Amino acid sequence: MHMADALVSPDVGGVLWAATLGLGAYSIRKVTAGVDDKKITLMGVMAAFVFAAQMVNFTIPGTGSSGHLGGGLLLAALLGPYAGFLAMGSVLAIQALCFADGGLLAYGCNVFNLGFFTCFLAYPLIYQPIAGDGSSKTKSFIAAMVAAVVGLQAGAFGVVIETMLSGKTELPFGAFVALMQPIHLAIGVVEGFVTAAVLAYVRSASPELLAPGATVAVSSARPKALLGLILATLVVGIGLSWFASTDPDGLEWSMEKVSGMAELEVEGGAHETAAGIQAVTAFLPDYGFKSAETEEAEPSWPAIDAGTSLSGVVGGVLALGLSALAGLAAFGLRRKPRPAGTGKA
Amino acid sequence: MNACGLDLNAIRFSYPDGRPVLGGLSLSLKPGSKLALVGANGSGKSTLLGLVAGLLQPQSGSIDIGGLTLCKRNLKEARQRIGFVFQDPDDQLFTGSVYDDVAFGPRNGGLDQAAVRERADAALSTVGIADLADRPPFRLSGGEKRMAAIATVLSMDPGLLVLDEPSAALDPKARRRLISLLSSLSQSMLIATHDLELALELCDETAILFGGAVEAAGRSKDLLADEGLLDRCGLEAPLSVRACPVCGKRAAR
Amino acid sequence: MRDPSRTLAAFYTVDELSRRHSPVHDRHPLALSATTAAFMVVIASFGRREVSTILPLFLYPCLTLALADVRPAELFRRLASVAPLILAIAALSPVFETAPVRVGPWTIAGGWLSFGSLVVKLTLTVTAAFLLVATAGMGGVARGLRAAGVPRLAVVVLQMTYRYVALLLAEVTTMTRAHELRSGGRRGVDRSVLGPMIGGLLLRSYDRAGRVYDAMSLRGFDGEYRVGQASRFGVPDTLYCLAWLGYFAIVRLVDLAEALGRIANRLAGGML
Repeated sequence: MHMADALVSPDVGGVLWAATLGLGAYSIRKVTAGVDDKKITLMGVMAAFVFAAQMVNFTIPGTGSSGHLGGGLLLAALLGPYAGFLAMGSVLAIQALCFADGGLLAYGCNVFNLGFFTCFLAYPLIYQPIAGDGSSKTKSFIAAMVAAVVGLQAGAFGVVIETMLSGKTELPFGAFVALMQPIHLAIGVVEGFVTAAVLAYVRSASPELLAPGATVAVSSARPKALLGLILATLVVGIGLSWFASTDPDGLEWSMEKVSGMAELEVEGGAHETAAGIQAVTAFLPDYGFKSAETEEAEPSWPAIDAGTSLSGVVGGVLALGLSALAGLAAFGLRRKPRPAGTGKA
Repeated sequence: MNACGLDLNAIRFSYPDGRPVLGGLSLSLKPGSKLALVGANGSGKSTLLGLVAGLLQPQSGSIDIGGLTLCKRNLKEARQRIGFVFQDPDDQLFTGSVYDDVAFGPRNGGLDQAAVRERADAALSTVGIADLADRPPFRLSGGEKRMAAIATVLSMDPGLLVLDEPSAALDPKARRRLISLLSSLSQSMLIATHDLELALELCDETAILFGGAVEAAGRSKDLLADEGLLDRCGLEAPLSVRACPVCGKRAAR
Repeated sequence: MRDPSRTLAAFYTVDELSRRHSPVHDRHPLALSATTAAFMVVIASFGRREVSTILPLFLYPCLTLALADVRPAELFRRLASVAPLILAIAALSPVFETAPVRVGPWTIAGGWLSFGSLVVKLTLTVTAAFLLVATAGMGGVARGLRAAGVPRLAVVVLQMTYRYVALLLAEVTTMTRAHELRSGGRRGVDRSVLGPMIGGLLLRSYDRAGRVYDAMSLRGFDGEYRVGQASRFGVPDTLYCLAWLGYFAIVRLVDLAEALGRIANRLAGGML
C-alpha cells in the first residue's frame, strides 16, 4: 500500500512531507529527551529487522495465499511510539531509495499512512488500553489484532484521500474506497496475527524487552496536543489541495497566470526587440497550457477537448528520441577516451 | 601508547538473575605479554572480557589496567587504554565504510581531521587492508572483516588488546595472517579463544578457566600439554603437542 | 511473493553502483539530491492528462544513465517490480474517463491520456529515485540530508538501518531456506512457527543492537555521532545543479514538445 510518486501531486506530497517532518522533529525531541544513546543503535537495527522480517512469507490460514509483516505496530510496541515512528520512517526511506518501493515525493504520505496511524493512533489509543500490562494472552492478541486492523484501515483510507486530492487519476471515490478498504482488512488481519505471534514469543522468551519501563509510554496529555497539531496540519493541507484541485491542479494553476503574462510580454515585444529573440519566439510560439491551444476563450476544467496537438505528439516522440540520442552520444564520448567508470575498488 | 599490564583481583560477578559466573577470580598480565584465556563454553571467558572492558561491573574485586583501577568515573580514560575486538566483526563495523569505522574512535577522541586520517591510514596499513578503505563492511570477506575490526581499535592507539575468539570462522590463510599480525604487534593482549593451537603459538602464557575460576595459569607450553588437566576442564590438547598415536613420540617444540 | 535473496542482490547492486566514479558520481551529494528533488516536483506538477509536454524530461535520466555509466538493465528490473500495481490503477482511467479528446487527428477516450501520463510519470520518478541512490549512494544521501538540515539522530538511524539491512536480509535468506528444505515444498511459513521464527530473529537483532552499542561506546561514543568533513560544494556542482534546474524550468514553462513538432513541421515543409 505504498504510494508511488506518479500518483502524488506536489501540494499533497508537500503537505504530508511537512506533517512527517513535524512529527519526526517532535519524536526526535521526545526520544533524545529521556532516553540513553542505546536507543540509536536499537532504532537502526530494529528498523533493519523489520525490513528483513517483511521478506518472510507465511501462509494465510484457509486461503492459498501468503502474507507478510508490515511492522509499524510491532516497532511501536518494542520501542515506544516515538522511536517506533522514527524507525518506521527509516524502513520506508530505505524501501523508497533502494528498492523503488514507494516514492521520494510520496515519502511523506507513506510515513504518515504506515507510521503515524500505527505508532500514534493504533498503538497508544487501541493497543495499550486493551493489552494493559500484557499479562493476559487473549487480551494481548485481541489488542494486536484490533490495533493492526484499525491502523491499516486508517492507512488505506489515507492512501485513498491522498490519491483523490492529488488528482492524478480520476477513479471515483466510492470505487476506490470499495477497492482499498476490504483488501486492507485482510492485510490488517494478517498484520494482527504476525504482530501478536511475535509479541507473544518475545513476551515468553524475553519478557524484560516489553516491560513497562522499556518503552517510552505516551503520557495522557501529550497525544491530545500531538493529535491537535496533526489535525491542524491536515485541515490546512486538505483545504489547500481542495482549493487547488478545483482549478487545474495546484502549481499549474499558478503557472498559467504566470505564463499568460509571459505570453503578453513576448507578443508585445516581438516586433521591436532583437532578431534573436524573434527567432526564439517563432520556435516557441505557445506555452503548452490548455488555454493556449484550444479555441475557446475560457476552457472549463476538465476541458473535454483539452487534447494534444499533432505537433505536440510529433514533438513528444522527437523529444524522446533526442533524449535517447543524447544519452547514447554521452555514453560513446565517455567510452572512447578511457575505460572510465569502472570503479576504483 | 605503551603496552600496559592488567591485574584482576578477586573478581566476583553474577548476572542480575542471580546466576553466578565468576567467584573470586584473580589474574595478571605483564605489560607487553600475551595471555591466552581458554576454557569450555560457559566457563566465564566472555564475562571476564566484558568486565575488563567495563561493559559489566563486578560485585566485588578490582580491575587494574596499566596502573589505573577501573571505576565508573575513569571509565572513559580506562577505555582509551583498551582495544576490544568483538567476536563478530559485524558488531564492530557499524558505519558505511571501513574508513569511517576505523576513524570512528579517533574522531570521538577529538582529534582534528588530519590527525584522524593519519591514525586511520596507519591502522589500515598495519593490518594490510589500506586498499579496502572505501568498501562497505558487508562487502568484505570474513578475513577482511576481522582485519578491519582490529584496525578500528588500533587506530585508537590502545595499550592492551582484548580479543574475543579472533580466529573464529576464519579460513586457514586468513587465520595465518591474523596470527602473524598479532605476533607483530607490541600491545599487551588478552585473547579468549577455543583455538588452542593459536594460544600455543601466540601466547607465552595461558590461563585455563573452569567453573568461573582460574583452574590453572602458567606457561602455555606446559599447560596445553597437560592432557589430564585439559580433559578435566572440558578441553582437548592441541594436535601439535599430542604424542604420535603410532610411535608415541612427541613433536619437538 | 517477496524473495529475500533477490532483494539482497538488488541491494548489493545499487550499493556497488554508487561506489563508482563518474562525472555524476563525483558531484556533491547535495547537488544530486537537490536535482532529484526538483525533478520529482516538476514531474508531479504536470497535469493529469499531460503526456507529450513531459517527454522532454527524459533527457535527464538518459544523460545521467550514460554519464554515470549505469546499465539500464537493473533499472528495468526495478521498474518491472513496482509497475504492476500502479499500472492497474492507471488502467482504470480509460474505464472511468470516457469523454473524448483530440490527439492530433485522432479522437480517443480522455482516460487514455491519463493512462499515458501516469505511465510516463511512473517511469520517470522510479528512474530518478534509482539514479539518486545509484550515483550519490546511501552515504551521499545521508550527507545531503544532513546538509539540508535533517537532524543527526534521524540520519544516523537511517545509516544504521542501511548497514544492518544487508546482514539481516542474509540471515532471513538462510532462515527461509532452512525452513523450505524441511517444509515439504510448502510455500510460506506456517502460523505456528511464525512467532519463534520472526521473534527469534527479533531477539537476535535486539542483542546485536546491544553489542553494536557496546562497540560504539568502547570507542568513545557519547551520543554525538561524528562524521568526517563533507566535501566542498564546488563550481562544477553549482553548474550541474543550475543546468538541470534551468532545463526543468524550461520544460515546465515551455511546451518543448510542441515547439519541436513545429520545427519538424517547418523542416518537413509543412507536411504535418
